[in-house]
Amino acid sequence: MKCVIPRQNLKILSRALNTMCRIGEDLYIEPNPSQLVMHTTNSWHTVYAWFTFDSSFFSSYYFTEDDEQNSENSLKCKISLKSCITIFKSPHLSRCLESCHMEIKSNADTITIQLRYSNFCVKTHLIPVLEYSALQVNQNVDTSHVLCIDSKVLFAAVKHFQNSENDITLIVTAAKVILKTHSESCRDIRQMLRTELNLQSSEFDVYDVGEDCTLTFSLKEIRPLLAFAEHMTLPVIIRFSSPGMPMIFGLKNGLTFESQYILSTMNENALSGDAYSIRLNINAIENTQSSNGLSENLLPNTNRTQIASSNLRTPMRVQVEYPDSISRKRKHQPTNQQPSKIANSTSVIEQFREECIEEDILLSQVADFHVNNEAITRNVNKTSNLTQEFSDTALVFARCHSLPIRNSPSKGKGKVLVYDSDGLVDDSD
Amino acid sequence: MKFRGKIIDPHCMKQFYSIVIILSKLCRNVVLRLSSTKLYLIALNESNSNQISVWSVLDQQSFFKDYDMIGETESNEILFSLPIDMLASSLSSAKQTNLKTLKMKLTDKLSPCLTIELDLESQVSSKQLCTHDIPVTVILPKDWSEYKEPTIPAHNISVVMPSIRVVRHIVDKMKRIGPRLMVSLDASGKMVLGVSNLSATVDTHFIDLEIVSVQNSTDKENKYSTIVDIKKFSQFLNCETLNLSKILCHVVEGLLLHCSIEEDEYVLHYFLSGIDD
Repeated sequence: MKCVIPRQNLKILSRALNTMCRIGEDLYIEPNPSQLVMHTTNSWHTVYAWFTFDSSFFSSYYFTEDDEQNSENSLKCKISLKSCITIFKSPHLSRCLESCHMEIKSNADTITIQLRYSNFCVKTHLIPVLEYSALQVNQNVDTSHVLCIDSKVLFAAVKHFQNSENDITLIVTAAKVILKTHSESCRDIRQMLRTELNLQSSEFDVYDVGEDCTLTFSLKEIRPLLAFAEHMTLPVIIRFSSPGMPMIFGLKNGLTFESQYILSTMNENALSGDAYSIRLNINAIENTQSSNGLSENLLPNTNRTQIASSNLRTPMRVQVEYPDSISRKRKHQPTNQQPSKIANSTSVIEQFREECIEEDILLSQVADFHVNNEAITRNVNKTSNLTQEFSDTALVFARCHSLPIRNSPSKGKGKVLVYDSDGLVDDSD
Repeated sequence: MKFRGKIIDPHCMKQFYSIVIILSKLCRNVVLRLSSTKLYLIALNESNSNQISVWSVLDQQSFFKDYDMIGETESNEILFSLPIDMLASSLSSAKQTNLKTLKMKLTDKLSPCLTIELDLESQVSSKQLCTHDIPVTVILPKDWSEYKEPTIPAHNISVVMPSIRVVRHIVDKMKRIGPRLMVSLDASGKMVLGVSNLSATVDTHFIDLEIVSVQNSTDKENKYSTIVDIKKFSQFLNCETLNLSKILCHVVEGLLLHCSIEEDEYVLHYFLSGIDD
């Protein structure tokens, strides 16, 4: 695939990359005959950012003969977002830069990015391809509520919130939208500055809401997108259905480019109590996912788990598939356990696991690291407060394998498949 | 205990915001003392036996359009403390031009709160309402004595400070040389800011300053000096945003550097106690 980006659009691309840089570390590029798709997700997989550049965005965009012969998948690749950013960050970008040529060859080790300047200077960058893998995300999000708002208004509105604010609660009624500080935080709410903002429905260009709805999402993750939208003066379309289900922030510039952020949300009152119970919830999920026996061991130990877990109806909806690992994961899945688990309990956790097993491939990456099905025992270190650094949503949707909880070997707690793959904890059993 | 205040004049909002911003740089917690005619913002120096470090008085009438308060005691006063950075960040939208009214009131939500209500004019006709709840700690009458108006000690000398912008620029540079700033004033209208470390001594002389008062006017050569923490002094110099006509600088030999701002609507005193060499 070869394409040429004119100077004016290069700024947009650079800004879009910078926006994505605030979310994730890897950039997945997927060219197809009519458009270039770039997307990324954060390490917790609570946010998924997606930009599509139509062929009209480029001054030329074409597939070579080779590409047409090969399957489309051979062009999909993953690169480091940081290395990509540095190319477009150079201060000379604005003045004598004329165009940017990008070339992706199927199954090559590098992507070529060439910056051409008006003084016949050509700068060629080779970005190593980390992996030929794709990010598959279920974008079929149920959206019963649609709001469309001028990005200037929304950007000014979120400015009222402190920069340190991680999560905010969105309350939608027939007449107005209320944004307020998420009240169930790890910190003591009585010591915090609480902010509430009322936006009348007349502020919105489209205000299509059915039932009243209250949900909490991560403001921190969405701020870069709002800044991008504000800079491009594009309206922001917000779509969501109910708490716990993903919400979408989208913007579209005619036919040339389009962007969407899919965010996980949670119920405002989902989490009662402090970080302690939140962390336990995750462990419960984590353990039920991998071993049924362990969850039963854990529950009697902490009577809070049961109460809190019943509120936890926030399945990770930003689904990520790593094609290579899927087959392996299926192999390891003890298939005979599934029906019994579902029959045993009707709790939401069970539902969550059920969904995870069926559609979400949360464990897929994890299973990669355990081809020999090595049994790892894991114990919760209750004094660990590492998790408190993360925001609520991040905690709730935390991918089980990346939980920064120290494992200490203790026999008899059951088998756990899950293994930390992000290198946060180095287990050596 | 009740309090409600409303500011509608954009100039007053800006000025109120600037004062809060300056205080937020000088201290962490501020005690708000409300009386029927005045609003006091007081900060204590926690590291130095709870001496008052900032004393500012705002005239209620020139800031607020509506101002109602009912205190618990006979003196009809309310005292509470609050984290000043929260107040500063909630008022930050006062910078914007589309702010119509700013209301402050004491409320009881989960805990005692100072609620800031901002009525914003939106670009798209309708209005937006933004509320910030700042948790406060009410101070009981028995502890009020700590927040009494400080007795200003007899100054050896008082002068009008030179252009605050220039002083700030110089002090910011001096900050890199050493942590202690020696401020010396003499009766001829000379101000010397000095800082030193092992390898260098740097003095900046400002001359021909207007002298407000001096203890011993006959001896022109007699110097009065105090050594203060340069960081704290430099934080105070951020007050250039207030567009002040003049700032007075007073020295009590070896003990105290006292800067004061006296405008019609408000008064601000900053006490910086001297440190031993």
